[in-house]
Amino acid sequence: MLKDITLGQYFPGSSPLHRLDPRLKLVLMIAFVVLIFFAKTLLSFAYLVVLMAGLTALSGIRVKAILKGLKPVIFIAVFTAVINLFWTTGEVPLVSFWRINIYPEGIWRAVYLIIRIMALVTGTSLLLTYTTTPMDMTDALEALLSPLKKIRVPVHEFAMMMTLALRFVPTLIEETEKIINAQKARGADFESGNLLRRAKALIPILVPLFVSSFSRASELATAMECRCYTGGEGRTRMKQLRLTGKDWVIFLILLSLFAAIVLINFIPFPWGTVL
Amino acid sequence: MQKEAIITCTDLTFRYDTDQPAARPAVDGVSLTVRRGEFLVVLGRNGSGKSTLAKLMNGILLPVEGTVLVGDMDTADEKYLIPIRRKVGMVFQNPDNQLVSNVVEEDVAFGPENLGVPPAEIRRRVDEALQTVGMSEYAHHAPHKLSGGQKQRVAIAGVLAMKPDCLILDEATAMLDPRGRQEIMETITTLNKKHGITVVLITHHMEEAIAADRVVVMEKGRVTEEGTPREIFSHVEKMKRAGLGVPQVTELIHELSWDGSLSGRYSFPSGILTEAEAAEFFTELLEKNHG
Amino acid sequence: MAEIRLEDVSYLYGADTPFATAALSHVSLTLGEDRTIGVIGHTGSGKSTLAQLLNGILRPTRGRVLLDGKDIFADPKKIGAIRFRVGLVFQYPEYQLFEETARRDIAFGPRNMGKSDDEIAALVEEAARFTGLDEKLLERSPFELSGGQKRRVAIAGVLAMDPEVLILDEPAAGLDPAGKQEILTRLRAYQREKKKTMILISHSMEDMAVFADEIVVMKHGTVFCHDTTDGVFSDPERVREAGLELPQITRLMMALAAKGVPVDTGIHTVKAAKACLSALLKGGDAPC
Repeated sequence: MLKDITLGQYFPGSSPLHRLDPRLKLVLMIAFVVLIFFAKTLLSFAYLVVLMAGLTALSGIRVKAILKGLKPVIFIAVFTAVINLFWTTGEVPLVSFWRINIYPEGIWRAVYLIIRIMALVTGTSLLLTYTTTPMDMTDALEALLSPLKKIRVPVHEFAMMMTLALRFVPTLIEETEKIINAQKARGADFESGNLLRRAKALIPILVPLFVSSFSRASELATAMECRCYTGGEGRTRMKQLRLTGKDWVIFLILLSLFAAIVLINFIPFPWGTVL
Repeated sequence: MQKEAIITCTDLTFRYDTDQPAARPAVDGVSLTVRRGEFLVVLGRNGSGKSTLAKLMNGILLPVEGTVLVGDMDTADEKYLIPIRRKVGMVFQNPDNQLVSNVVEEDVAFGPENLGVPPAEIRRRVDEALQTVGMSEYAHHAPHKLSGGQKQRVAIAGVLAMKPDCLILDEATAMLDPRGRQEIMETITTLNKKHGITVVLITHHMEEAIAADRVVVMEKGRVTEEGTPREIFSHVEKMKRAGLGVPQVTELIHELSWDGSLSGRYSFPSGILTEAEAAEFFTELLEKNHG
Repeated sequence: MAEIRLEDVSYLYGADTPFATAALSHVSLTLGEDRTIGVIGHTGSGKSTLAQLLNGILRPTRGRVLLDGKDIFADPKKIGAIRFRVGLVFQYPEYQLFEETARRDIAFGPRNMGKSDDEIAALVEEAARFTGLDEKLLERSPFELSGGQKRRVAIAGVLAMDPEVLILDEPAAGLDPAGKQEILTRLRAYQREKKKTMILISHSMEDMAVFADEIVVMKHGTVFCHDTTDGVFSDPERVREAGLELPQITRLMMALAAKGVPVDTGIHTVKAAKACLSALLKGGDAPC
């Protein structure tokens, strides 16, 4: 069910990850996303798995919830993995039938890719969405991007839009599900027919969804006006971001753990292929 | 002595289609004063203009004709927009479309943050507001997991954190179940009686008008009735014609008074609203009858 | 005309997750033909889940739902046909409107059934008549209509499938008293004239006291009681136990009875109360 999607959701808690300054978390996330692409050997990918397990433990979020969050990307992961499995050529094929050869290199690549995609999703979710409230995230983004204000980039507006989008994800998911059920009750069929027919079958879902989203947006705008919102200028925040020594310590530890991905590549290891 | 006026509407007219001057305006020549500290209910059918009137009261909509004064500030004067909205807070019908954050307390903080209140003071106000509406234990929850009544209480807290003088509930109970409606009624009664906040409740549920200090009935953009709940509901036929209904006991006594063989012998007072009053009335009547 | 039976039906939300919660547990219920049945309970009592189980939008975790004695999931591939026989109108159904005109929107269901154009026209006509939508309204965009009109178009969209059983989840939610009265009166007339099984999901004892032949009270995912409307009201204290508010008129009767006035505390309409009290006031001594 759509409702079960946990991706992009916040899990309340008070773990060290939850309490870490969101600006540092954002920097960590960017570092993580970059460094993840430096993993080249089996050992470094294995390290990635350990790292994810460590981050999960640190966040205090249940493993089940994290795995549930991965559900929506399984398809993409498997799809890319399969492509790599068939299209990677190596020296000695492991299996070969008809015109297809599967090489050990292909298998390794497929495994690496799955780990990479999963780590990408888990890592960014754990560092950001799962452990950071959208408001904190907005603040962090705004703070980090604030130099851009000088060149007239509407940083605050951009950050606010992001907060609102996140706030409305669960609402819109619920709404979509409701509309699907209502149209099913009128005999709508979303599962059979060719591509064109299926695309057409979406109209009874998309039109109501658009109509209600627009009315939601306009009601929300009115409600925000009523609460004296006039943009970023003159706004204060209840929660002030303040960097403490503890923040820096956790930040530096995590950053070095991430950087270790690159170094581990240099450890010679007999198994696995090198990307 | 009449209490000080907090909102003064004079000869208000408003239409959504300004290019169709022939069409009936949504609000048509309404004059109405909201007095400090009162609990005012604006009762009307869907489409009677009650919601438009609410939106005129804090400058979300501006009148085509007439004026709205909040204190002595004109809503049409742009420089007063923020002070007016701080003074006159508004809660809307759909709780999902007015909460801005994924976390209850951050949502409540949104108003004071916009006003530039210092952080420590915001913290204090948020805690106090959540306490007042009885939602403190949900401070860190996500709004979309709360019940309708709880969401609306969070929305009310969000207004309270701006320290308003007046709270307008624009059909804020329309989408709630009976339990949620009761939660809201209890919350606003406390706000009105204990905290002295002026409450304007816009609704079509006549039951919600019974506890009001004053009721205004709207029909087709006009104010057609004004008075205490007792006065308003004594006009049973009129209320029914307005599509609003009256309490069942009020209707019962009204029906009995139309029975010729009874109305000769008994006098049936109008304006009995609660079952306790009605029970007392009937027992007295029957005792006299048999005694 | 059809009868729906639930046999020991349970439904768990998130059945395959550690957060599984029972929305309905061990419900056995027979909803007979040619009558209006009110299903009443608080939010979270399982009444909306029940509605969605009856036409196969949800599938029971345990137990069976039988339509005229046949399991609706006997062939899961044919569940679509069941949905045409058991029409379900969701809460705030106006959110499902999408077509260019109200007429086309109402025709969406019958068209999915594969009806011919003539049949569709006749079905739309009939559904519009029962919901009180006139010709001119049908040609307009559903998005231009008032709230009450949209609601009626959405309900007509399910009526137009001419289902044997019609379930409506809070059809009057958010409408003003006159709007509510109109829609419930029209639905009641439809049920009587077409001798359908109609199931109204509601929060309100007061509405159901007037419009239902039978009442099912739901509490914590189970059937708290199921009886004729008179039967349910014969023990108003029990209704209170389910946490539901009694109609004011019943509360008056209970208050009078407590003061020693010989009235029937099962009275639940203003009409009945008037008859009873005017008899007493005219000097009758017989309890009523």
